[in-house]
Amino acid sequence: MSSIIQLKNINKKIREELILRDINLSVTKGEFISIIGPSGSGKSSLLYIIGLLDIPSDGEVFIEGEKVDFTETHKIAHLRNIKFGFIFQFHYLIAEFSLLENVMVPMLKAGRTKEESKERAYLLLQKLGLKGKEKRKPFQISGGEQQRVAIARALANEPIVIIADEPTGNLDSKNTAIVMDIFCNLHLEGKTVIMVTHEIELTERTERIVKMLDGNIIEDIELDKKKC
Amino acid sequence: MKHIVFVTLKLLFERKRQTIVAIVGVSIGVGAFIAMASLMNGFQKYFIEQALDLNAHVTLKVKDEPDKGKILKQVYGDNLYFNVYGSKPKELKDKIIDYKFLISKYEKDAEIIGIAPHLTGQGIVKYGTVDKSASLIGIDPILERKASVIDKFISNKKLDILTSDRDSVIIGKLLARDLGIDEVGKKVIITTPNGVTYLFKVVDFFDSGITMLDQTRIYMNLKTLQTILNKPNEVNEIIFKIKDVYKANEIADRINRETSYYTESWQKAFRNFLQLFKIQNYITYMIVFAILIVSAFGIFNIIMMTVLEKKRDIAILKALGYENVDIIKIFVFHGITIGFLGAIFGSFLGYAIQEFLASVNVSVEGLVRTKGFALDRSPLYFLYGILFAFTFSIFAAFYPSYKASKLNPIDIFRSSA
Repeated sequence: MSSIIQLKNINKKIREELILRDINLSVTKGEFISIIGPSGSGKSSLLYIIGLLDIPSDGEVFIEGEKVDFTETHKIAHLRNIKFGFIFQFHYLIAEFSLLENVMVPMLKAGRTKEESKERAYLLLQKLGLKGKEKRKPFQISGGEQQRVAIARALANEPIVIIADEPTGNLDSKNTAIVMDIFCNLHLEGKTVIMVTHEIELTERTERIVKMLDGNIIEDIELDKKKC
Repeated sequence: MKHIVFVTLKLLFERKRQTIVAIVGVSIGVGAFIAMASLMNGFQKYFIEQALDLNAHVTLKVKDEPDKGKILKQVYGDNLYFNVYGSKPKELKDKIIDYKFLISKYEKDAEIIGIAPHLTGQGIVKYGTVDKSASLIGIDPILERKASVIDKFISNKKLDILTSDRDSVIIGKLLARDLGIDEVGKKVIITTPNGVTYLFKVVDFFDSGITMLDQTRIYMNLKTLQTILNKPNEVNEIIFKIKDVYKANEIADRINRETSYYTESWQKAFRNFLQLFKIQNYITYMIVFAILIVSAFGIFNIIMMTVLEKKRDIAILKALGYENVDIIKIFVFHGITIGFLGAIFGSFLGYAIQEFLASVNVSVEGLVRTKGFALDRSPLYFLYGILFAFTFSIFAAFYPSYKASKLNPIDIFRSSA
């Protein structure tokens, strides 16, 4: 299968310190990848470059075969909006907005109408088990529910890749299981999921593990595809 | 654009307290501007209107303009460089002897509406035991009506009596009050500079609203004043009413060139007051400007605070595909909305203050006398207030918005992790 994301010879320097060294990575459509490594190994930095949130110091990034020009800020923002869905350790929901409005935010930027965005936001929240809570504010729901809203927001524009940075890092085991089930379902629906985690047991549900250490990919393991 | 409006309005209305504080700040600025502008300009316009009505648009007088080199220029031409030391002042006669000719000449002028002769002089007016100095003005009531709006200021509209009853006078309302005269029909004694006394009947009062005039003026028939001052067929002033009051300087210069008499436009006659008003306007606008600056700082502070508090939200918006320009637009629109709402509420506040000031029944007695405040309620002040609020809001919002757009989401995510 052709790769939807390809990283070639990526280096990233922050204040003269090389935090990513000559990274080469290819992600094919529908993969469920976990990136693991100790703190400071560069896994989040790699994820930010994959998600076009950060600019590499050297190297090339290809999205669906097209080389990314990082000087084209408008195009980069557009790609982030429609091709990627971001989930972080902290939900980063906008406190003043209702759950529904939080999910609508990326859709409105993509040019969808308010009605269309609202309708899809309702559907997504319903799918993630938040039916009836759409009008609530983020502080009125639990941490697990907040993370599910963040997942709904990430899915708003039907992205090709879900980028998750320690998505369960702030959750209890019950909610971690719920979130992992959601990722598995998304994967089974054909979505590509790239997740950074330091919880080894979670990687067992993914089909590929990328291990990092000191800015290098030290291992790239393909696992049994039926684990999800 | 709908995503900008959506995010901005949500942020604005969900952060009610801060938004209300900012809107109130702008409203006070706009309201104060409207109220102060209408109050100050109202007073000035009232004064100028009264002064224009009472004091000719152009006055022709006997007064030498000091041009010490006039003769030298006539003999040696204009290119001569010279200095005159110790010139002897020319002896002037305080009269315009050809005034009837001048009146008939300028009556035909298309730019002049009316002309009237005046003879002015000083005198002492006495009623009972009280005496006051007065400014005596001899007028021709028929011509005077064409050259001024004197009727407007005559309390009982009895100006015509001056023609039929040569021993009648119309005296200033405040002069009458100072003398103790509270009704018409009273007899006063006027003493001329020659020391001769005459008895006159007060037939009406002159009430212009300008204190210095109402305290000194006595109007009487021109012929009567010529007689008592022993100046037969003499006048010392001709007043002109012109079509366009703002051409007064130009017309005064033309009449001066054509007649060689000293002429004075109303702007020249009131230059001290006009200058004073200019300074007063500077002070007013500086105060209002300061109020608006303070409101702008309010907006600046609130948006800056919002930006600082919303760093994470800005970062996530960027991760979700919002561009730097979108972030700038969100916070500038934030400022514009505060400015717009502040301008609307400020206009209502300004209108309310105007209504209140208009309803205050206070007797003002100073440079002018009015019952209540003289207000200029021009819609232009509302327009200016709204424009100022908008401009200040945009400027105040721009810097925080720019700072917000420059936030690097990676830094925020890393610092939160």
